[in-house]
Amino acid sequence: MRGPRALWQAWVRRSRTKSPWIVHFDCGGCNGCDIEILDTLMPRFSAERFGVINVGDPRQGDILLVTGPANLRNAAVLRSVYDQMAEPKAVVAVGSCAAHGGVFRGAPNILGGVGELVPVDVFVPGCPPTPERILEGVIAALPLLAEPRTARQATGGPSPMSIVMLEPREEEVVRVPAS
Amino acid sequence: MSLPGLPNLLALAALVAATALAPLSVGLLLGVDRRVTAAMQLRAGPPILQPWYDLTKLATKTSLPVDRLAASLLVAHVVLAAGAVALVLAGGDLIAAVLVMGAARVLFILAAGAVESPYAQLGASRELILLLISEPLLLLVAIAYGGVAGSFSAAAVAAAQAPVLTLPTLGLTLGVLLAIALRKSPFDLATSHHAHQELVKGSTTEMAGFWLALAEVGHWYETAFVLVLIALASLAAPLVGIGLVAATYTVAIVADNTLPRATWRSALWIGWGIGGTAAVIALVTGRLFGAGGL
Ligand code: SF4
Repeated sequence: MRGPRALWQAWVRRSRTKSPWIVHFDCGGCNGCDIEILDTLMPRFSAERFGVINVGDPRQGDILLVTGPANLRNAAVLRSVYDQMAEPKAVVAVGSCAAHGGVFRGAPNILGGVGELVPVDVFVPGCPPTPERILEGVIAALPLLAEPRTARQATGGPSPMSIVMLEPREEEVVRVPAS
Repeated sequence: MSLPGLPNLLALAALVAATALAPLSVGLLLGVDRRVTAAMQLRAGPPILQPWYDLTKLATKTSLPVDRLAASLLVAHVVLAAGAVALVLAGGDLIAAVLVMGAARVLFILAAGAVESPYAQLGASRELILLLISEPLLLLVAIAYGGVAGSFSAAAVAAAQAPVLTLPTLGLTLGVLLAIALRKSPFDLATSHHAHQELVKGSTTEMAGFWLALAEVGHWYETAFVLVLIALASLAAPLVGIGLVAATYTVAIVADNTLPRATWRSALWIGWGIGGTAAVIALVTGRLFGAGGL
């Protein structure tokens, strides 16, 4: 029989993982990923069944969905959006740009993936990823929301920097035909 | 304390428990609401306990800096809103309860306007418009009840035989009030979690974590207040009351789904036009045929 304190803690963990409010931030990709994110939040893919709500205020958000490459222009903005979010929070990098700079990699203003600036928890592959994959990425981040990042290590939960890589599917791999 | 005090203590405990449970049951109702709305849009919708999950999550977030003035106003808002609901549950004066609820909502508007965000201030002024629509209607409802029961005390209204049957048009007014309390339509005034309002967040823009949870509880109390008013009219005929609530709620959801772009002007016209007229008709019939008749 669990005591009331343990029951309350279990309820809190459950609530936190069942109420992921999303902050969507575009670092400046081609907007392909952003269109897919908007798609994900529409009735067709019904993200609301996981408790997802799109919020406009980082202070009210739990999951930061970032698209586009980290770049000099808005590095400070991304960092500030991340810092404004209250723990427990998680970061999901959507698309190749957010993972490593994508097609923009090597351009003079590009720093690389958003991992250069904020601790990314889940990488969603694709250029752009399908809405199902984005939703999959959000779901992969849910267990991380049970506890604040600093407490995760202490209690043996997922470590502060545990990174989830969604495996690319067959159709997402681009093969160069043999000449 | 002497022995006869015990029943009083028990009654007090029951009152406190009922007041504490009121917002929780509203949360459950809102969960059902989100499911029904989702079904209308051919979606699965969140779990029925979703509003409780959201509230717990918000309340247990690590603390964020908050505007001191806004925070104290929010606390006062929730205390007054709970007080208004408790006043009705205790059988107290309806007019006083309506005014206390009005004061609670003014405190919320002040809390929203106390911060610098232009969106919060825009939201605050829009809340003011909603208050302008609903407060006179609430007063009219209280006066109509008083006309039937011959007294403004909630206990007397509950004891009067089914005022809802004497005042059939009052259902319309209560429906309008419920729709306003739910904050779903009109879209340029709405602040609900349903993703179709003009401002992503208006009055609650600068609130986060625990403070947003407080604002949510205050909102649940406001909804509970309208629901308690509906229940008051139908205590003698609970089935009629449940039917009335279900009907008004369904109408509110259907209206919300079919008129997603209704603006505050239409809210004002529907609110004062339909709700106000219905309340005045109820008031007159109540005076003519009720216990407090001419
Ligand atoms: S990953 Fe591809 S689709 Fe997404 S922003 Fe970058 S270039 Fe556009």
